[in-house]
Amino acid sequence: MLIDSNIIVEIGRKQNKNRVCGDFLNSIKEGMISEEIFVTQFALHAIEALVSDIDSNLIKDFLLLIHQGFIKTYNSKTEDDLMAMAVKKDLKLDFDDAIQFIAANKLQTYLVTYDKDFSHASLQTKTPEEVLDELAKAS
Amino acid sequence: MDTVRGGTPQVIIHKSQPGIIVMRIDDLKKLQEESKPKKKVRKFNLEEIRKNNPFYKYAGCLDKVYGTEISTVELCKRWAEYVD
Repeated sequence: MLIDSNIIVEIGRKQNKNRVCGDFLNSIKEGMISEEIFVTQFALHAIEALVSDIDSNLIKDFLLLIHQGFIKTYNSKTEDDLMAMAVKKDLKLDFDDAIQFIAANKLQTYLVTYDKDFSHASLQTKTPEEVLDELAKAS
Repeated sequence: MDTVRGGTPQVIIHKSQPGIIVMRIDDLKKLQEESKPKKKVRKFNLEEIRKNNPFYKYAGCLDKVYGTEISTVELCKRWAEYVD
């Protein structure tokens, strides 16, 4: 799975999804997800830009998950950026989302996100609620 | 002339390795997947995850700067506006 930036930023909001995003991240921290988990370097920088000056501990906790190997980073290559530029118009995505789209396709996985813009694109998405439901059913 | 020693004949076998193996892409991917180191996975337990969840303490920490009007998805789409 590839995690979108909105899932991490949601943890620092007081909206109705912040707890489930916290549950999702803690299930990663507790080693309860077997599949490989990725975040793009691009999304990571967006999260850092939004969060680091306000609550450095939130971003530190997330970076520790990467440092400890629970989450891997995906560094987009120049060819990914070129592909994102090429597909963004057809898929009605902005550049950030096109990068996520290309990364998820390259990794042959789905995107965990609340962003509805991917409904135009042929990319499987799941919400954290759906991921946790599937884990609960499988256990 | 060489003398022939008695006993079990000693034979050296050279095990050769093929330079090229042709296989189906699906089989290769399966093999690559199986050769990856396996993660130790704990049994999923929602109660345990919710108990003393270290991420709950961050609830609302970003709202004092970004407010509550903007959705998180929208905030993430406009992240570049918030970079100095």
